[in-house]
Order: sequence, then structure tokens, then C-alpha cells
Amino acid sequence: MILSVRNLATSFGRRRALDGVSFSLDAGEAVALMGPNGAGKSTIFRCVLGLLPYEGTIQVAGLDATRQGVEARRRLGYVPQSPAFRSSTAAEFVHFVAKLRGVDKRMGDEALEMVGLAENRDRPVREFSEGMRQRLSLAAALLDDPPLLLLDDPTANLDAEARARFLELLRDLRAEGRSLLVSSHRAGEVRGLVDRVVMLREGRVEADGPTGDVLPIEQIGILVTHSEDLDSARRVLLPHTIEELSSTEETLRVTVPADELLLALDQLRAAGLSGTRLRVCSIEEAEVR
Amino acid sequence: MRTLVLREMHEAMRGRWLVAGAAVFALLSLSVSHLGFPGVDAPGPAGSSRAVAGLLDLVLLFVPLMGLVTGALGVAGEREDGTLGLLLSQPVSRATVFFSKFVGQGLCLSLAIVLGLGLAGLAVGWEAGLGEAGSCGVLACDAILLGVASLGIGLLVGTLAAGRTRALTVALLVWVWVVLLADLAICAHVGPGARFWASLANPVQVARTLCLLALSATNEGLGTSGGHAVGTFHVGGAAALLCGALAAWVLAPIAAGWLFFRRQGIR
Repeated sequence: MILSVRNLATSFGRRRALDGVSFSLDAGEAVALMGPNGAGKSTIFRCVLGLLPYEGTIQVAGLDATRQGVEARRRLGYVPQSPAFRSSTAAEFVHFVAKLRGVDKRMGDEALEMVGLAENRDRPVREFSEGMRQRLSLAAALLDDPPLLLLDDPTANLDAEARARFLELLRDLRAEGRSLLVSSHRAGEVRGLVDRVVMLREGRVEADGPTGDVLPIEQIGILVTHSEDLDSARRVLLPHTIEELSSTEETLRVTVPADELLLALDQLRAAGLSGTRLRVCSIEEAEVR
Repeated sequence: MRTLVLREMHEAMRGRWLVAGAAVFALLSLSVSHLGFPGVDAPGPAGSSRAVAGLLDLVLLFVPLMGLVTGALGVAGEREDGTLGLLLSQPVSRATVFFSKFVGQGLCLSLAIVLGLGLAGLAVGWEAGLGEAGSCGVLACDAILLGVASLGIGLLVGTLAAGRTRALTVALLVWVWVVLLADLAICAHVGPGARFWASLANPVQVARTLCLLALSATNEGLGTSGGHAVGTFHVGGAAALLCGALAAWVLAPIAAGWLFFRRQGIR
């Protein structure tokens, strides 16, 4: 087991921010912490990282997160919601973290390469877009090759394109067998990424189970008809597609999660497919036509 | 720890506050030392002693401000922008992070003081000889101790304050108190003996009396409380008391800051 959280509780003043939270993560597993704002997702990360005092037990790879905090954190890579160190250049930042983690700074350069920031290594972080900053945070989190990555709502401030690119990086890491604990409040984002979902509400675990059980998909159909470029439409819709129904040369019929519909339509429009004939309909209607 | 100390120094150099403070301090030190030279039309006793007295006033006014603000922003500012959280999420202990700030910022502050008073010392030495320049060396040692004590208080303020603005406000209020109001408040209410003991509760007064004690051949200029201390404990005893008090002012705030910081939640 790479992470074990038992009866975790903490308070902010009189408010109980976490109240008896328990869950675990096996090696190679990806788990999402979900829930509305204030549910306690970020607070759990801060407890695991030793930033907040807490009651209960947290173990990282068998190490107590409080008593053996330094060794426990050596096994963690952390991607915060808003990256800091904005006055440094990308290279300075990853080299600094490499030194702190006791690894060669060449690993920092390799990490920059991996997240596609090698060409921007000498630019100050403050000049980066949000998407680039998050990729930089991911590069720093991957130094020292930690077995568990903690990602605190990493796509919260990203636009659709940057979000898709970042999620692709995470899917690659997932395919390599790395353990991920990611917080999010976007069901569509975590569906293709994690094995399990821990649903939180007001500092308590409301549900903990396989992704499909905790987040049943409400589907909706999209019909693209008489388009000259159905392949482009298919490519744009692919990350969202649950199922492609019987399509013809003139018609593309897919179902997407209802909570991703607006994003999918925005991306179609951004890809220059606004001239196509789009129609949103129920699944039944998409199947019949 | 070395990596973090170097980062603190790098950040302090990159930040505008300490560099601007050091430049202004150096400029004022040079001006004040120049005003003390014979031939310059200024009131008061002429010569290097006047220059050193002027520099001491400058140190007592300026150095606590630099130390307090640097320390306060060093913790509160980095907590607010997420840098502190990111540092503490790495495999380093809280003690390493906290004391690296103290050491790194302390070294930068000391460098700024040495630079400012070094230039003034060169000017005084050029005009009045090497022996007089030595007074600037004594003053620099006193200023560094005062600066480090102020930095410790600043770090304590930054640890306890909720945000950058509040930390800066409290640091400035502390500065106004130790530099201006504390002495006035004490003078108005107590006699020379009690005033000496009360002055030990103010690092600026301790640094002032200690420096005057080290530089003066006579008890003149020590003030009533300093004169009372020399009369009661002799020069050696008074100096030991003042050195002990200044050492306590260096150690106590940073120890208190650490006690709060080690248990503090970083949200």
C-alpha cells in the first residue's frame, strides 16, 4: 500500500474541516478525491504533506507522515493548484528542487523535456501561461521519480486546450504504472484517468468505490451532419466520446458525458467546426436517426 | 541547508526591498560621515567622533527597519504566495526551512551593513586616520547584532501575522515603538536606575548604550541610565550586562518564532 489514511481529522478554528476520513491507495493505483468546494480535498493533501496538524494516521509507503515526514515526502511528488516561485526561470526552479531532493540537476532538464518546456527553460515563470506553470510543477514533482504523485485540482485554472494537454500527460504517467492521487470537481476529467473515486462532503467520505459506480455517467448525444470534415470533428470529440454510434459518410453520431457537453461544443467551435451542422439530442434519438 | 540558505540570499538580492535599503543606507552613511569632517559647516563638535555619532544614530534608525521588514515579509509573503507550502512539501525539515531563512537573510543584512558602514569607514579613515576608522568597525559589529536581533523579531512577526500586509503593518509598528516611542515612554516615568533596566527591554537602546560604552573614553554621552549602569556595575559589568541583553535579543525572538512555526498549519 502506497498511501494509507485512517480516521483523519483536523479543524480550522471551530470548523471541522476533516472528520474521520479513511481511504487507501495501492501501488500503481489512481484515485480521485472529489466533492464540492470546501469538502476537504486540498486539506487532505496538506495533511499528507505535513503542512497541517491533524488527528489520525497517515502512512506513505509505510512511513508515518508526521514522525518520518522528511522520508515520507521523499516518496511524494506534489503539484499544487497554483504554482509558486514565479520570479525564477523554469530551469532555476527545477534545479533548485533537484538540489533539495538530492538528485542531479540533469534530471531537472530531462523533466523539462518530458513536459515539453525545454525550449522555455530560461524564461521567468511569471511569463508562463497557467498551463505551462502546471506542466512545470509536474516536472518538479517528477524529479527523484517518486512512486506517488499528489495533484491538487491541477487543471482548475487551465483553458480547454491546456487542460486536454495536461490530462494527456497524466494519462501517460498512469500508463507507466505510477500511483496518482488527484483532486477534482470535474467528473468528466477523472473518468478516463482513475480507478477509484473517493467522494467527500463536508469533511467526510460520502462514497468510495470504482469510478463507474461512484460517478454513473449521464450521457447525451451529439449529431454532426453534412459536415465536410467529419474526421476533424471525430478527433475533437474523441477525448469526450463514450460511444460512437452507427455513423455514415455524412453523419457522425457520438454520445458524451452530459457534464462535458459544453466543453465539447466549445472545442468543436475552437477547431473551426462552427459551420458544421451540430445537433444535441438524447441517446435514444441519436440511436434512431 | 546550504541550498536553502543560498536561495534565501538569492531571493533577498533579487527582491527590491533589501537592495534598495542597502543602497540608501550606504548613501546616507557616506553623507553622514562627510558631515562630521572638519571644515564642513555643521553644528556640534567637529571631527570623526561627530561622524561616528551621526552614523550610530543612522544605524539605530535604519538597521531595525531593514531587519524587521525583511524578516516579516520573508515568512508571511512566502506563506501567502504558496512558496512556503511548496518548500515544506519537499523532503526537508521545518527546522531547515526556518533557520535557513534566518541565516540567509541575516547574511544579506550583514552584508548590507558592512557595505554601508565600510564605505563610511573608508571616508572617516581617509580624513582622520586608521584608528578612527576602527570606530566604524565597532559600530558595524554592534549594527550587525542589532540587525540580526531585528530580523529575528521580524521572523516572529511574519510567523504570527495572518498575511503580508498585516505582517508589514505590525513590523512597522514595532519599529516605531523601539526607535521612537519606547524611550520616550520610559523617560517620562522612571528614574535613572529603573531606566537602565527598562532599556534592556529595547534592543535599540541596548545596542546604542553598548556602542557608546565601547567607543567613549569617558561616561559622557552615555545618558543618565548608561551613566548609572557604569556607576553601579563599572564598565566591564555594564558591558557584560548589555552584551548578554543583546545576545538574548538575538536568540529569544528567533526561538519564539521557531516554537510557533514548527506547529503552524500552512493553508
